[in-house]
Amino acid sequence: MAVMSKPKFIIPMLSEENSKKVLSMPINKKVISQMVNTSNKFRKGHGKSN
Amino acid sequence: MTFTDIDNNVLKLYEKQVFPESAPLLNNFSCGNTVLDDIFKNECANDFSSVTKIIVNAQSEEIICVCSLCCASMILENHNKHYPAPAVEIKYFAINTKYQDIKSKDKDDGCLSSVILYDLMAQILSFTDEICGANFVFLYSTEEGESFYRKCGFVDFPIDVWRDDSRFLDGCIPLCFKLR
Repeated sequence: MAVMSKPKFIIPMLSEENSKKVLSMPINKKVISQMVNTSNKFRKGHGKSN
Repeated sequence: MTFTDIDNNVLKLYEKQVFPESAPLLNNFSCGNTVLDDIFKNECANDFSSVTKIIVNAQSEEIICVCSLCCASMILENHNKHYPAPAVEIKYFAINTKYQDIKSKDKDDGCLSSVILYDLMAQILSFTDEICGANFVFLYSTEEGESFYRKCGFVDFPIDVWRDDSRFLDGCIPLCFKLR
């Protein structure tokens, strides 16, 4: 699974101040990585199957 | 990653999509919130604007989780003007009361609810990376669910978001997760 690709953004019409607020929101890479690892482990282990 | 039920049976799960003809499956589901339970019973299967999936205990056929996703926008408000940011909305995410506090034998894996949410988020990450881009995942949390979502990485949006005025969202808290 490809994760965390190029930034593609967003909202050019917001005021500069608000654009900065939105853009400066942290991307929680640690949590994202944990999500992917957890999902892989979940599905590989006893996990979900159809 | 192993989860066991109250009788110490290892949980084996499967997932399936909910269609109108499978709606009766949701009749006995309860997440402890009667408004949501009613929506699952009466509306979910016929809501063609979203995709609803259930995660089922393969032994007992009990529904463990109901989750529903749709493409959406975060509507950002600025000086009375509105700007959309591409997003995926977790319209519903609910865990059967019986399965809400089940923890993995390995402490690092957390509880079943958070693992299922992480698995859902991983699917969204894959979809938004490879098929249809989005910058955010968002949801409207009930008061009782708020701390769970915050622990899982969701945060308040930093500027005004134009709220959905649906009746049943009264009192709900908009939370988001920035993807990229």
